[in-house]
Amino acid sequence: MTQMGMAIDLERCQGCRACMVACKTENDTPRGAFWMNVFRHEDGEFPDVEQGFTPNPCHHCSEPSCAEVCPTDARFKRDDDGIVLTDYDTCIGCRYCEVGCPYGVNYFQWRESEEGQYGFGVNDELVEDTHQQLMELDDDYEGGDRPWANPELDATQEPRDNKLGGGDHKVGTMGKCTFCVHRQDSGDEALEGTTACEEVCPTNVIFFGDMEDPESDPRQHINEKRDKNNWKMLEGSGNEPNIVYLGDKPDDNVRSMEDEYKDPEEAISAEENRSHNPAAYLTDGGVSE
Amino acid sequence: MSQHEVGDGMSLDITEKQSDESGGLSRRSVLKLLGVAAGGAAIGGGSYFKATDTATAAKSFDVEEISTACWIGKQDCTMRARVVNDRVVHLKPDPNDEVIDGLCPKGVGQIADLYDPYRIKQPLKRVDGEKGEVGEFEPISWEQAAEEIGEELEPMLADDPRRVHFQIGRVKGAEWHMNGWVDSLEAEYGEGINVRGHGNVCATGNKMALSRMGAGFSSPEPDFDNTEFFLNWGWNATQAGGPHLCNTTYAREMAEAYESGTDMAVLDPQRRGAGHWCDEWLPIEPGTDLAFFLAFNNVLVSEGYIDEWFLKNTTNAPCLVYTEGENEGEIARADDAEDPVESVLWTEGELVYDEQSGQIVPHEETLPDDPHDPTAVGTAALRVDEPLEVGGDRVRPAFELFEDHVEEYTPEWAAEITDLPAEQIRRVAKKWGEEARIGATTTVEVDGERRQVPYRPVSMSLYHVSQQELGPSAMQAGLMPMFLVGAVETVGASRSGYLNAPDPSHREHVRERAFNPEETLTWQPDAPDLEGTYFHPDANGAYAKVPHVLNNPDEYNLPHDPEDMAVVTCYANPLAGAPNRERSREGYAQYGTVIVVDPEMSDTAAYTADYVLPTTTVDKNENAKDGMSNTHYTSSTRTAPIPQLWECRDEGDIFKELAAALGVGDNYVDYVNDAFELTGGDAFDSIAELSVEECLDRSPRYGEEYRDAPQSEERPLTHRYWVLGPVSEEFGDEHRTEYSPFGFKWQFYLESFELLGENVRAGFTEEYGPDAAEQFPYIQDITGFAEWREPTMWNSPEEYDLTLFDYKAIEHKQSRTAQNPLLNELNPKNYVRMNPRDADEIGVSDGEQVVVESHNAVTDDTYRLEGQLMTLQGIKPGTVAIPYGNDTHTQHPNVEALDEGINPNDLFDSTEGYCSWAADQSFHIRIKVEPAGGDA
Repeated sequence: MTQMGMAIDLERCQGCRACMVACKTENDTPRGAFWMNVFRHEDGEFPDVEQGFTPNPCHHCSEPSCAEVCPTDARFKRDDDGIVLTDYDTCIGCRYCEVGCPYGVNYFQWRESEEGQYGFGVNDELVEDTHQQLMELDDDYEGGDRPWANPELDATQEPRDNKLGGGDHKVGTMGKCTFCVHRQDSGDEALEGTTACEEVCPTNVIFFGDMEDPESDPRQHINEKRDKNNWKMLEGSGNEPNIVYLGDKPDDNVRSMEDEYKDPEEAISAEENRSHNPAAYLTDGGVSE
Repeated sequence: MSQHEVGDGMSLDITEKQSDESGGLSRRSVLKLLGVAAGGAAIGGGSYFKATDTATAAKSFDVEEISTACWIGKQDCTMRARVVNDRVVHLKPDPNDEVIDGLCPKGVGQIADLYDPYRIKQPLKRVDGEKGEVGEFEPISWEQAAEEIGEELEPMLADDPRRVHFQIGRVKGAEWHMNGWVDSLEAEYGEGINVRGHGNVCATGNKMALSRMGAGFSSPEPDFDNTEFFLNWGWNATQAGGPHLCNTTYAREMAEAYESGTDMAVLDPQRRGAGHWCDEWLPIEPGTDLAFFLAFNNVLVSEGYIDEWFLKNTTNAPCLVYTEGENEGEIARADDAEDPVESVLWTEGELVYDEQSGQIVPHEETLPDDPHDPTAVGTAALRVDEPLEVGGDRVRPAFELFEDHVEEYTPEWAAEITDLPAEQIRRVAKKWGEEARIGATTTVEVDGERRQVPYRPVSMSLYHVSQQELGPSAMQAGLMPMFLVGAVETVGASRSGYLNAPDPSHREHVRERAFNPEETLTWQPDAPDLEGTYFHPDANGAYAKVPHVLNNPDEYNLPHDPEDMAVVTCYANPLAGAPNRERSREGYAQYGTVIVVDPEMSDTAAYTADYVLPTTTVDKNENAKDGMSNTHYTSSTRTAPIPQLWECRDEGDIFKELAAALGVGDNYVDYVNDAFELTGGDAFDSIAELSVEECLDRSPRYGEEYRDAPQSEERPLTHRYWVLGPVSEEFGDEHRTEYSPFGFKWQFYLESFELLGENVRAGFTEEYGPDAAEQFPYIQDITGFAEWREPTMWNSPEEYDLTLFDYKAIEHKQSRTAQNPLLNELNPKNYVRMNPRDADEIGVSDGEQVVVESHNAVTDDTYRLEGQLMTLQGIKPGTVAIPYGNDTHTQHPNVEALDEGINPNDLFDSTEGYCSWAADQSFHIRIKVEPAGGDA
């Protein structure tokens, strides 16, 4: 039995959130969707203060409550590796998974994919300029989307033979961390067994692999640090999560800090109303080399 | 294996890297595969998904991974760009780099900067708008830009090269501009172009001290592999880089050290920077680090944590100093002693008292037979009971003077100033002394032979924290703990920075100004950085002070009016990157001509530029800086993963045209050929032939075969520890390893500063009268041993009852990230961060709007800014922290739309009182905070 999961070493984490950005650019998620999220927190009183950081991807539970409550079976757990996925074609966007999940990792796609794409979906002379430039580079680029949108994410995965990876799915559906399923099913040895978050982490916090295999990276790391605390989040929920944290568990009085990201609606609206001095930014018809 | 020179005479043995790339695949040779793709292709071409059924048409993509490097940060972290159909879809760390294991959020997030619709796309010329106001620009061709800039600058250079200034922020590929372009011009027009870096807003405060107490313009770096106790001095490790490299490297090293049991104490008003790696937090009052270290040294001396081997054998601690007479402050030297101005690493003939013979003799005569033996202590005295004289004047060992000097600086005294409990200061200092294991040795193997070296597993590091008014003095005092216990340049301790061997060059000019002031100190600056004048006898670009000087040219005796001068800023944004923004705008608006090289419309460009020349971002070809961690070297090349966008050009391709337009094209080509080791058929014949990409392709060090991956190599131990000097091939004849394994004498007593300070103060008294220190407080700070005085900011009225300091957030970097929507999303706003205790007193709470007002205690200027409050227990009461990195491009549409500000450089100031004697910018000022009134 394979069950993909992670060991996350909190003693090494510096809360830089590189994993969040890597996840975002890997999976093309829109504004406001943080399939990987990192809590930054503080507890104690001056001068006895502790500050720490806790990455929180989907826990790909063995008993996923999100799948249990899904009325359409769009949210399901894959048999052969235990990854919990969303079939965007079947999802009706009822958001029961969001309610049912204790870890807060589900994101509803509120807008058309292009609208959440960091200002690149705006109908603006200068953005058009960028799209034109990209079309000159890439015959397949259709414009109207984020320039770093990766067409490789259009691939389909088993067992549904549908696109199950990627964050640029259609409006009105749910999305969450897929353990980079598009990498796992790529057929490319260099990509299988890796996730974007693990790959980018500069302090080696994340260990992704088969939690059932004692030789896997996460199991080996847990063993190496067996003299440290290890724990899982909200074990009482009965979900049997597959993210194991190494290091002290933040206590109940912990206070969140630095957790206000840019409001997506405000940002999208602001991007639509961007003013500029066109002369300073336009080309006068020059074509790229 | 092949041997290649990697700058400064170091050689880098390139081993063939195991590469899983198919051979011969360059950026240009992309293979197009047609039809249904099979999985399993290797990097370099092919598709990555399984065959689909007929419901979805099969698609094929050209996929490559191009090895390149981050263009934002200091380190040049190597990255692979995943390129699908000539579009970069993802940036990831390069797995072959042995120095980094990942990237910071800016590294991976800069993909947005590649496609930024608001990048400057072709050269711009200002056509309307007064200088100091937002300009109106029209696009022009590169030809026109080069021609007109040539016409502007040529007469200035021909008249006096000092009329042209070159200022750089991001120092990369210096061969193409800072060195190459400037050298080419000077070869034709004569020397004098003012080249300014960003050092004074970066970390030169500590380098000023370390480069003279030690020998190399650098900062201490801990030997993380072997240290047992690490003092983190203001090092914002979870968010910032350090002495030589970025966060990506140091955070990993620190995490690994912590994991293996290293104890860590953190000296910082804010808890945030240390993250998990903190066993003891010392929340110090900003600006009082000098007092802390003076007390630290007091404890070490009074508790007897003294490494006699280190002090007696390798430093000038035993050297006799005149305490009276016309040579007061100088070291007593034998008649036939070497000249300290000429022989700067080790000056033979400095006198000491020999305990064995009871005589005053040259230091060299008291050294053990084998000075490399770490257990053989010399016979020079650190203290002498009886009075001594040389030439009829009293002399005393420098160490004795130091003991007297620190006697009053007790932990109780420091507690009043730093707000740290005396008990804590004492305890941490004793721990340092204890853990240093004075006298312990270890053996290391070099070339098959075992050598015994001191083992001192205590270390410290600092970097930007030295940018405070008393920064250089704080570093002078801060180095003493390392010297007192002998914990420097040996196993477990701190390296003195990123040099493989002691370098005399930074000692030389300070000694000249100390011993021969008439010939070397002047009131007539060549440039607004005032370097080499009485105003700032040493300075490194004076980044933030320059505007104040430009605004007052007569007061500082500038050789020309600013309107007759020109500045080329290359990736520098003084109008936002340093305080004070109002002064900077006013100052740079004085320049007759401003040329800005930048990919974005920085504030410096928008408000003051006559010409804006767009350079590249991720689509950049450039020779990345050679990297060096504690344990590895890396070398990499920045390769544009896609063709360059719009009319943007690599820096070298811009500056070559400017060189040609100024008639120095041939000089420039010669310089480039030389710098990149191009000979014979590889050498370029003309500017027309030269391009950055082509040059890198031909260069032996950056050529195509090395573009596929970073080249990493382990650093030999002889490079890591100067104590191995005697067996290091990096040491040469100038290194006096016959006297000391380090090859030079550490300046425990900074004689050159003592004398320089006397010269400067005498000059000021003559020029400005006896109260000169009121206007120029920092002249008091140039002394042989660091002396305490209260920071000038404490003279602000009592209503300014809080101290503002700033720091770097991991998502932002100077002027390179405010326009990035990905990074903005994670960190859209700089909060005003304070302890809830202070917030309660003021009557404000977390999330509310507040007004911050700062006060300049010298000029009485005040500045106001409104921002949102964040309360944290992890910040010292009495202080406020505001990070920087937002609001640097106020005219950029993304910044206008998305960036919620604020920029603390609106609140700091850059006049006297807020700079050190070396023109280091102080990022401290006194403030008050009030509710904003109106709704939150």
